[in-house]
Amino acid sequence: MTLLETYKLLHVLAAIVWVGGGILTLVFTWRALGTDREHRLGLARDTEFLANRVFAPAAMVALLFGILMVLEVDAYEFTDTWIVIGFTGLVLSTILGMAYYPPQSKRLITEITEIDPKAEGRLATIAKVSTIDMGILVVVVWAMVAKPGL
Amino acid sequence: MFETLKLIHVLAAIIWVGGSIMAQLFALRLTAAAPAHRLGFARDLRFAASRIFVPSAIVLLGAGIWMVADSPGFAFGDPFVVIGLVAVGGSLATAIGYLIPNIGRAIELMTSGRGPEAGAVIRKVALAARAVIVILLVAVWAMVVKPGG
Repeated sequence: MTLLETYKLLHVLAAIVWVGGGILTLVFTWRALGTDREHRLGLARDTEFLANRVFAPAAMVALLFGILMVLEVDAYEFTDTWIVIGFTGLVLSTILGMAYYPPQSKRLITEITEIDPKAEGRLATIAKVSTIDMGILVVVVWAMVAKPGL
Repeated sequence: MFETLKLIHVLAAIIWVGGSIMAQLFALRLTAAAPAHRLGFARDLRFAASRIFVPSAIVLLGAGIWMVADSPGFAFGDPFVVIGLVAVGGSLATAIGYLIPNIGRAIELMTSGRGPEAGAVIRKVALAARAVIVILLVAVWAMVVKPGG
């Protein structure tokens, strides 16, 4: 395997874990809206635990090896449309991942534990935001595959 | 046309492989979980496996075959195509023939109060699912590196 192939494989694997894992978590989140309290609480705790340990590192690995690939390939520039789309999407999703989900997840867990009726609304909002987040990441995947502007 | 097929193929792979890895990570957290959460997770997993993973695998396979048939640069005898077809075919058959029915069996055992028996079934399912993930990761490697391609 060449250096570029290694970078590409690690970039792709990180993206698979991040986006694919995110989509599964989104499906679980939507399904949690109609489920019992104990499962919802367990799912909220599991998601909070895994988000910090899986999504954030996967995003960083995808970003790092994406940058290394751009540096390695002469035909790629940081100003290429598809790379700009990729960076923008990744940054937006990372901001959501760092600034939105952690506090919302903590509040959700507290509300479910205290049997607060606000939990249902908060869970629905998180599900909607996650749907937009995944939409952004799907656009990034499209940009990486179709490479518009290249 | 080729780009559209490639996008569909890649998205299906992301959903199937990434989702399967994530499902395993969720499952690892179940050891100390409340019974209601275990049952809820098993139901969510059956839904994901039968309504998301299997359709994604079929779409992935269809788009992949179409790409090979459509592109003069690829042939069904290329090593990376053979690896992909064997890995995806084998994983799909395992999911339909073993994983999904046994998740259903575990749910039935849990709902009838036979938790320990359900746990034994789930442990076997988790082991088989991990083997499938390893096979799928080999397929991802083959698609990226294209050995012999």
